[in-house]
Amino acid sequence: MFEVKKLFVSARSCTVELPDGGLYHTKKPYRLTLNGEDAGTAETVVHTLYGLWPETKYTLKVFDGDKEVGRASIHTKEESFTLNVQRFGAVGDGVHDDTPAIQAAINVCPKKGRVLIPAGKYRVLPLFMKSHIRVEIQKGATLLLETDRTKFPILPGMTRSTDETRDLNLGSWEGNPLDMFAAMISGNGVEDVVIYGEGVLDGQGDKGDWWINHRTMRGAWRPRMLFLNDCEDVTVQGLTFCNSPAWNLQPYFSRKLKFLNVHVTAPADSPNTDGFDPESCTDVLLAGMHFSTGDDCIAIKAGKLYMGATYKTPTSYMEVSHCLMENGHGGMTCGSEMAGGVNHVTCHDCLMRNTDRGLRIKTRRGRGEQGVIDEIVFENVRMENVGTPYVVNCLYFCDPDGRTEYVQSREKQAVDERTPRVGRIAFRNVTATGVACAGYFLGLPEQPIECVEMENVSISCGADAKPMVPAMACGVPSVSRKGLVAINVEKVVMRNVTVTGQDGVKLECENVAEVDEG
Amino acid sequence: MDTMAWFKKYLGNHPPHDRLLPEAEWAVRVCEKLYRRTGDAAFRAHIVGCADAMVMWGNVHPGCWRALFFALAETGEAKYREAIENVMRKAWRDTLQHPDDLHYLCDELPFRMAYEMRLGGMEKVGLVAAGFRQICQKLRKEDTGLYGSLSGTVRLLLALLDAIGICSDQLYEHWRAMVDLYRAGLTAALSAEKEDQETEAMLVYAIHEGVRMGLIDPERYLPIARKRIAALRAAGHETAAAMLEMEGGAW
Repeated sequence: MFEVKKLFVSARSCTVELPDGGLYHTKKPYRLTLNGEDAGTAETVVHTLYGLWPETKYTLKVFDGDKEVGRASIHTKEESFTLNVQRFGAVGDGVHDDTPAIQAAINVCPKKGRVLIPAGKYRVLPLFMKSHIRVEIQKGATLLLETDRTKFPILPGMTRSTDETRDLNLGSWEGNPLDMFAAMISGNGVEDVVIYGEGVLDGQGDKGDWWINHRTMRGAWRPRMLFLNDCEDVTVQGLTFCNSPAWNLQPYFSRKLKFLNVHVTAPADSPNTDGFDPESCTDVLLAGMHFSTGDDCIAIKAGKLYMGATYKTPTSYMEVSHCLMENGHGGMTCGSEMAGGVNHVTCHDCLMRNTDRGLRIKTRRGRGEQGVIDEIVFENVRMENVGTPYVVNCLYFCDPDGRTEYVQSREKQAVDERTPRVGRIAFRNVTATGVACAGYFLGLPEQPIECVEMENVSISCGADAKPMVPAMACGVPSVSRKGLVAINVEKVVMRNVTVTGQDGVKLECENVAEVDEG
Repeated sequence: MDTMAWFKKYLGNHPPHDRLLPEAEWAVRVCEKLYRRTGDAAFRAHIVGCADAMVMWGNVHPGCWRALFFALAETGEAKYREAIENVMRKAWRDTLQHPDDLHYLCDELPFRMAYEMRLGGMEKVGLVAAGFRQICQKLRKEDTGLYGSLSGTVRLLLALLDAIGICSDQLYEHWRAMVDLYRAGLTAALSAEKEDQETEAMLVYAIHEGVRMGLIDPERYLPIARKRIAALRAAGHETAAAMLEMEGGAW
């Protein structure tokens, strides 16, 4: 028996956790019943049930064969009205522009009401959420994002207040308040919103010109799939996001967020199609997510210097559990835009497969003294064919000035208001196989990484692992069958750490004050 | 008046090697914008001619540094890059040592920003922004908010606009620091007593550029600019008014 944990209950859906010891997938399939009726099979630890009725009590039972192994009581929430977008004129034929109909339904939806998008193909321009509503995108429904950028609204980076004393920040690009095309789904200052269902949101990045000459700003910076700015209590449940023009899901200066059982996919060679990029957010839960992207699966951010120093808002108290990260550059990344700080992030019970890196911390001189990365914990994580499972890189060569002497110098610089800091990073019960480099920790000479803790960690180098540059900083060579490397680190703690298959030593140190292998 | 015809006649009467021409800076500015807008080779020729003159003299005519970067981008000829590098080889002056030397500042900092963004790998963009900040802090008068005199403030506004226009907004903290200095200086300048007509023309230009670059609210500032340009024209300062009009395109 295990305890079935309820992660989220809405009026018509419920996400539960079936903790049988599996990471993303359960160790075996489980048969489910709701009030004695068949409710399908669960094959993932985090599982969502749809088609529930509002304000109804259910008993969920979980069976392994005929044996009941878990149960939970579910009481669904209230729902006031359902507004079907087809009643508002949406056609759903993939040709007609259904934006006005869907937006109208959203705008007039009463509190606790549901906007229902039934099966069909809906061609849309950016849509804007409002507070206290639920939007269900049902199985068989696909929203197709318009590909012509000239039709997109632009959200300005900064707008001055009428009395010229304040700024309104609506747009963002890579940590700076810059003009951007509105996301496929935008929330600005909204609260109590649920967006859920088994439908698909297709950004059609593969069909428009978003991925062509992508580093050049044309009109505004590229849109995301979901952008939540200054939002609170928002849950996204079950949907599939694919082919984003740029980053997929970006909550921004928002709080109390849940992303459950969401699938995010993009071709492996698509540019900057990060899966999930919370920026200056707090109290964030990601559970049962599946990522397969062209860039980092999860990239935790907190702005570049201006935003970090001005608003001093870190991303903090974030939990990532039972997720599958595949392909792309990094499994879970912090930075490189982290000037507001990133702290208290736990990634546990996750599986990473075929990503370049596993945990990847990226920062650089110029991110500022607010830019502190601290209390990052990796626990019960398995990595398969991950090039370098652990990378902390404080000399990341990003941004227009990323390769300058100031950023890349290996000489000790003055610690000042532009110097970021990396505190404690911990890895427990982690296995990594088929790696090229066991780990690469590159601190700043003037501000070494404070502490890297590894406990019950097993890393095996792949005999045929593709050589790779473990950290994107000037002068870091391509390697394969390489052990752990620590440069400019205060303390390395290693307890029950095994590295196998490497050429040379297990741990190579340069300017490391203390190695504790007790 | 047909301002385009007037301006072309003006260029014909004032060849680029006329190094003493006080409006040389304006002519280059206007030519660059008109060339971008119309593609008319006469404007390009004037700027490249100005750059050639500076290569020949071995130094940069005040306000005309942009001609060297323009000529380098347009022709790719090494002599322009060499001329730029020659200026860069001269030591940075300590801005705190020479805070009142606005003449130096208004040429050197935008020139250095252009160098950093186009040729120098952006290594010292932060130093250029910091240079502006130091100068403004040093010169700022508590009672008026001006950076020294009104004319000095306006020169500084133009230098800031040049640097802001060149700097990538992806280096946001530097870009924004300069924008904030510009906005504060403009507010002070608009509250100050008017000085000479040249200063007034430059101030109108500073407003217009700020609006064009999206730094200030057109609804608030364009009527101010229009009123002031009308006053300039009414006062007979036709050259400045015409230049501003050419510069502004559709006001």
